[in-house]
Amino acid sequence: MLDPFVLRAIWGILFASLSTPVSVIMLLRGALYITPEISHAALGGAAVGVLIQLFFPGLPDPFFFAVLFCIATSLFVSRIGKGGQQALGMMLSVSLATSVMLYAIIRSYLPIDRRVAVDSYLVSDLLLLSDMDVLSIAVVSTVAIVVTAVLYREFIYICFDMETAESLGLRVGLYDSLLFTVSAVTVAVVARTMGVLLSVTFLVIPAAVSRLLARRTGKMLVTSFIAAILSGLGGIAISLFYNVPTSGAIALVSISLFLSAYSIKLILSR
Amino acid sequence: MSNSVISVRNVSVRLNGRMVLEDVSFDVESPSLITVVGPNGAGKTTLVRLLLGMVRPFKGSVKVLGLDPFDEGSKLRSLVGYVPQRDKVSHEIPLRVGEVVLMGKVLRRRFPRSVSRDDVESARDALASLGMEAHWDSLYSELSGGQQRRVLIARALASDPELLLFDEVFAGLDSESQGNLLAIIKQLKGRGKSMLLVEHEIDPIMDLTDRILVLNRVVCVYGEPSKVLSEDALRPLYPCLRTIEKEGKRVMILGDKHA
Repeated sequence: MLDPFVLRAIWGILFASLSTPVSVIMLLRGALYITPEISHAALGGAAVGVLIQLFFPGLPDPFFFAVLFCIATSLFVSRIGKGGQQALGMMLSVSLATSVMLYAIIRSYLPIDRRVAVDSYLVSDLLLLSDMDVLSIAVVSTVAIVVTAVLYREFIYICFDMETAESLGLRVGLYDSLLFTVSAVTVAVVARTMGVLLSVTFLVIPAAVSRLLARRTGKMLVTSFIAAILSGLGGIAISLFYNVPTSGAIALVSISLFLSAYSIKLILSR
Repeated sequence: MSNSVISVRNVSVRLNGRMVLEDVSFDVESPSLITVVGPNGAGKTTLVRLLLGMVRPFKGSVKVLGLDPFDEGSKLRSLVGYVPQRDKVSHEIPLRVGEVVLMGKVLRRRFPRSVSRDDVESARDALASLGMEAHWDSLYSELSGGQQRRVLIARALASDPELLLFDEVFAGLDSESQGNLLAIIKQLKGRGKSMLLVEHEIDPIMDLTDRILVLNRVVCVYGEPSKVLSEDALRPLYPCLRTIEKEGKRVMILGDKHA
C-alpha cells in the first residue's frame, strides 16, 4: 500500500500531466513560450488569496486566486501581444514584476505558517500536497481538458489558418481567448504542483518532446501526455530512492527525456 | 438581364485610423474572372476581407451574390470560397491534407460541427478534381508550394461555391506550379465559376482574366485588359514598370516599388 503522501503526489502528477495537450496546442499556436511567464502570475494570485483568506477564512482555496490571476494575465498579454513582440515582451515583464511585488509585499505581512502556503507556489514539493490541493487540481484540470477536447477542432483550425477560419464564420477572437484561458488554467495547475520556478518542465518540455517524436497532431497530444507522466512518475521514484526534492528530480527526468528524443530524432534523420 | 456577382458602391474603409479604401465602386458580372492588381498597401487584401464580411465599410454598400457580406454572412458563406495568401497559413502544424480540406466544410456549420460521410466524400471529390486525391493522408506541411495551393483551392471548392476569392495565389510559385495553377483556374472558369483574384503581378493571369481592376486605395482603372494595360495608365502607380518580350509575348513587369 502506498504512503498517502506518495499517492497524493502521483495524483497531482496525473492531473498536471493533463495540461500537456493544451501546451501542444499552444505550441502549434506559436504562443507556448509565454506560458512559463504566465505562471509567475500564479505566485501573485496565491499571495493575494492567502492574504484574503486570512481575513475571510470561509473564502475558496488560494489556488483559485492563482487560477484567476493566470487567466487575467494570459488574456491581457494575448491582447497586448497582438501589438507586436516588443509590446508582448514588455507586458510579460510588467506581469512578472507585479506578481513578484505582490508576493514580496504580502509575504512580509503574513504569519510564518501562512508564508509556507505562498512559498509552495515558488518551489513546490509534490509530496506535501494536501487532499484539498489534489481535489482542486483535479477539478480545474478536468474542466480544462474537457473544454479542450470539445473545442479541439476549432483550436487547431485557428492555429492553422486564422484568416480562413474567420472568413468561414468562426469567431476567432472568442476561440483564441478561450484557448489562452484554458492554457492559463493549466499553467496554474502546473505552478501548484511543480512550483513556478520549475513550471517550464511541464509546460514546455513534454510539448517539445512530442514535436520531435510525433508526425501527427493527435499523436503529439498523446506523446506529450506520456512524456509528462514518465517524467512525473520517474521524478517521484528518484526523489523517494535518493531523498532529493521531487520537483527537481522531475525536471531532470524531463530534460533527460527531451535529450533522448532529440538524439533519436538526430539518428533517424541521418 | 444583368447577373451581378459583386456590386461595390462608393465604399470607404478605415482601419486603425487610416483610410484603406476610398469611394471604391465596381461591378462583377457572372460568370467572369476579375483580377485586382495594385502596389503593396493598395488595399487589395482589405477588398477581399470586405467581400468576405470580415471588414465593415464606414461608407457605401457591398453586395456579394445579392447579399450583404457583413449582415447576411451566414447565408453567404456557403456560396463563397476563399483561398488566402500563403503566409497566412501555418506550415508548422502537422495536419493531414484531408483534415485541411474538411476545414472548408465543418467550419461552415454550427457547433459541434461533426463530420459526416457526405462531407468526407465531397472533400475527396474536391481534391480529386484538382488531381490531388492520392494525397488525402499526406501531411500538408510536407507538400510543395504548388501542391499546398491546390489543397487550399480544394478546401475552397469543398462546398461547391458560386464565387471564389483568391488572395495572391501565384506569389512564390515556380513557373511549372504557376502553369498548373493556371490550368486549374481555366478549368474552374470552364465550369462557370466566378472568380476574383488579387495579385501583385498581372502577368501570370493576363490571358484568362476578363477584367482588370487597378487599385491604389481608390479604383484607378477598371476594364478589359487590352484597355486597362497601357503603360500610361499604370506608370503613376508603378514607377519601376517596364515591358519586356517573354516567349514571344509582351509582358509587363510592375516592379516592387511601393506606392
